[in-house]
Amino acid sequence: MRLARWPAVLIGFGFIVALLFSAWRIEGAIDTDIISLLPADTHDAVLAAAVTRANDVASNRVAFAIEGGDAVTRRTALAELSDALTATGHFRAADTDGETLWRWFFAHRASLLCPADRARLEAGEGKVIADEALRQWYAPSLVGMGGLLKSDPFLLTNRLLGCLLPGSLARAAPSAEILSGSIASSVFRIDVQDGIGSAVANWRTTWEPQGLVLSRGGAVFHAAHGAAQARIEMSVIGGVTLVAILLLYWLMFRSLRAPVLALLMVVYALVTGLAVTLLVFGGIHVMALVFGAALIGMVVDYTTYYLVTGIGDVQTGRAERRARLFKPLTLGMLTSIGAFAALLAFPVPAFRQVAVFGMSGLFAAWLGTLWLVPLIEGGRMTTGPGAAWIARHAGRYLARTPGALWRVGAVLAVVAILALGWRFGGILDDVRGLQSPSSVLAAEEARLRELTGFAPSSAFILVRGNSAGETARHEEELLASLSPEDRDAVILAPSRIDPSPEARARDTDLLQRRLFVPFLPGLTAELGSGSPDAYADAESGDAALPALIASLRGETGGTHWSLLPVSRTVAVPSQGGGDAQFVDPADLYSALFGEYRRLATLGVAAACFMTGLMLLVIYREVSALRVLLPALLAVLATPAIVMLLGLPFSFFSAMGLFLVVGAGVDYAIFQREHPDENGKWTRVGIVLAALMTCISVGLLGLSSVLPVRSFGVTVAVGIFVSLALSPLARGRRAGASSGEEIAS
Amino acid sequence: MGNAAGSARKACPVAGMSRLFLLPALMAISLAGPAGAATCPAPDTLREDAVERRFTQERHIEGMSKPLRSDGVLRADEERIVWHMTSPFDVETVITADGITESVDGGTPQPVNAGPANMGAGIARSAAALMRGQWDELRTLFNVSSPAVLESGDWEILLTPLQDRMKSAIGTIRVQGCTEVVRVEIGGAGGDRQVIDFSSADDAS
Repeated sequence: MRLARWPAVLIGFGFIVALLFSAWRIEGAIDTDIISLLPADTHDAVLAAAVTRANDVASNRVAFAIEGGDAVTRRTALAELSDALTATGHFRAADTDGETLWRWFFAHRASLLCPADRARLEAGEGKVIADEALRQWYAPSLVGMGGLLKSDPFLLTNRLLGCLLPGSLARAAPSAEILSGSIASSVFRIDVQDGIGSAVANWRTTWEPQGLVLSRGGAVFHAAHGAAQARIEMSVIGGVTLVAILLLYWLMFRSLRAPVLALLMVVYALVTGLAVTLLVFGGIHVMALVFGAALIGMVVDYTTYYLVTGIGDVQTGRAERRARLFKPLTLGMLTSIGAFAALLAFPVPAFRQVAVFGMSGLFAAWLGTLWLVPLIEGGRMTTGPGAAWIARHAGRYLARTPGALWRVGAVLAVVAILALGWRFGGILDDVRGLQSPSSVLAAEEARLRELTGFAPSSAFILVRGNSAGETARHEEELLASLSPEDRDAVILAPSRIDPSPEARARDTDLLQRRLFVPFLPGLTAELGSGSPDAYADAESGDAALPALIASLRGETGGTHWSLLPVSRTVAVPSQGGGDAQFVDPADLYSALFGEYRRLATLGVAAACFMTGLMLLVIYREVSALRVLLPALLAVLATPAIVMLLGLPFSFFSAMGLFLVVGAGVDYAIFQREHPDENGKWTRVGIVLAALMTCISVGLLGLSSVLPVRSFGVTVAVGIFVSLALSPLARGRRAGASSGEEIAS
Repeated sequence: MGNAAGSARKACPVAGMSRLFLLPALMAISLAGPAGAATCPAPDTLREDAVERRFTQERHIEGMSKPLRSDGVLRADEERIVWHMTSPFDVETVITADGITESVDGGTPQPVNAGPANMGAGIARSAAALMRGQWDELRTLFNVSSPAVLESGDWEILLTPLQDRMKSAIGTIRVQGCTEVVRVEIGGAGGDRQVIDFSSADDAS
């Protein structure tokens, strides 16, 4: 029987179309905002935008402390570090913002007030400000500021600069020089990390031998550490995986064509899945991309199942081999698609994207395996020593049809493991626990905090309004309603620097009545110069709002918002400040991961339910549910075993269980369809597929990143348990299935 | 010493911007003729652990009918710098590594906010470093010129801030002295100039 070529041509054409479409749409279509993973009905776009902004602002801050040596050496080293960092084009020293701020304060010197000065003027103590100004004109600090004599004799600009800015890093210990600033680009960009890292490394080479010690603080260093760690792990794990897979294929088929075919099918399935997801949703979340790609990693199994039909003693044609594979593979594909479809029921956009990605990818893999691979396979594979060994040993175990006692024993064992796991294991949703920061960086940041109080915090209070002015007014009301201790915890409030029109008008009036009119003539007379109209036309709108303040404000979907960074948890009163809310992104993410874990666990349950439903529809007999039993028991036992291994159950473990369900049901279907002696090579295929999955995904368990490790270990354990329990799917009527009939 | 400094001041009155044009010539003289060097030690040989000098500061601001004049005492050692203005107000500014405080009329020292005060602290630190002959420390902030020899035999050094923003704010600093620093002149551009004359603390008594 000859194989028709037109389906393969269509598949190839479809692949090219999907590839071109994906390449065209992918730019800017990958959503990396973790908040957009929130269930669609609870998604708060303003909150999401504010959290993103707060993260940007907090993650871009950096600080350095230089200790050791003498003061001169430290200062010289500091200047060199500042120059080197600035030369990268990514670093902006904090003091460069000073000029913009000064211009802003000067432009608004007649309408802005320090809180203390406002209190003084309200108490009728304007003379205190006038006397202080007069004294300052004699002090050395005003060098170069003579021009203010005409425009700001009260030196209000300097007062504003001194009182309204957030606490600086000025309170460093005597033995340290401090450099602070921000990273102008995303700290997650590799070139930014490399540029900053290289500048710091060069600095260390020059100055550390001279006895200087550098402490760094900032997300860019953690990001660089994470990226470096990931690069090492990707090289090591990727290298080990590649060698192991090539070796495995060689041992099985004595051929290197097999891995090429498998890789081709994986690429085809991924590209198709991506293209369909982009077509349906217009974009894809990075988490959906990662999990979708990992889950349809099982397509490598499909190719393997086909290839093993070509080994063994019986020589059959390609059409026969495909016919033998058609039913179990189709059933496996349909049940896996059903499992993925269960995710469509959840109101989480990323889950739906995983569903569409997985379904379309698996369908493409099924098409490719049955109609493309047979044509491009080339010559038949030969039976390698590994395949023969598996057929002889592992196959013998898998070919046993367990009795009732064995089944009950397996269920009881799983229940016992389950009880032990949940008794001694734990659950982890806290993002802080999911991270593994460098101990070196943690120590440097602790030292920096000790020296300067620098503690990058992304917590903030979110204030909303219908206009920029209303938002500023809400902010002012909120600040007024906070306790003094909580008010001190507010690092920076945009409305203090750019207040609401109402507050500005009040301060303008106060300054005019209580300071300018009564004390300006006297001051100018004392100084022997200055204009009595110095503040008459002071208000000028041409100064740009400092970037520091602009970065804390935004507008999303017609709602204006501003965020007030805080140094600790602040109790936001229910009254005042509109609907202000305290937001700690770490808590928010942790709650989010908790919710995802719950939803993903429900998703796994729904996937099992859908698989069972499809098995009933396809086989039309209750005994078909036996096919679900191995995967079901594996899904129950795996989290418990993983917890007993010391890895807590998390969202990432739950996502790994989807792969366990999909692959486990596939193994069971093959066991049911090819239960007799003729199915020997099918069972070799099952073992090989399980080994492939354990190698390609399970080796991620070697990662130092907890989420990756959890996913990898869960998949590896789950696959092994599924394989071990797959004989439970074998019916008593071994050899009577339709699959065997087709083969014969 | 005080007399020598006083005579130096009389002999070398500050001549404003025109002095800038003379500077290269003066530097050339200092390189060519060792006569001046015979009377005054080279400035980089000045070393004092602790100093106490009286100062008289005059601020000249464009449009001002008369300069703002203040007097006081500058004290500096390893630990701290005290800029104590005694007239026309009693304000004591103390600069330590922990920060800057200010005390008015002998009152409780109050911490001074960052910002412009840092500039003043920088000036006071620089002045203290000058007094104590800490040239290495000065070189971390300024480009220090070679000493030029004046007619009086005093040397004169020009300090140019390394940072552009500081340079645009205060311009250049002219330092004059012999066995010790006797005059510091800051700025000049934009009609904002500050002249500080130092003398021995004993002169006050």
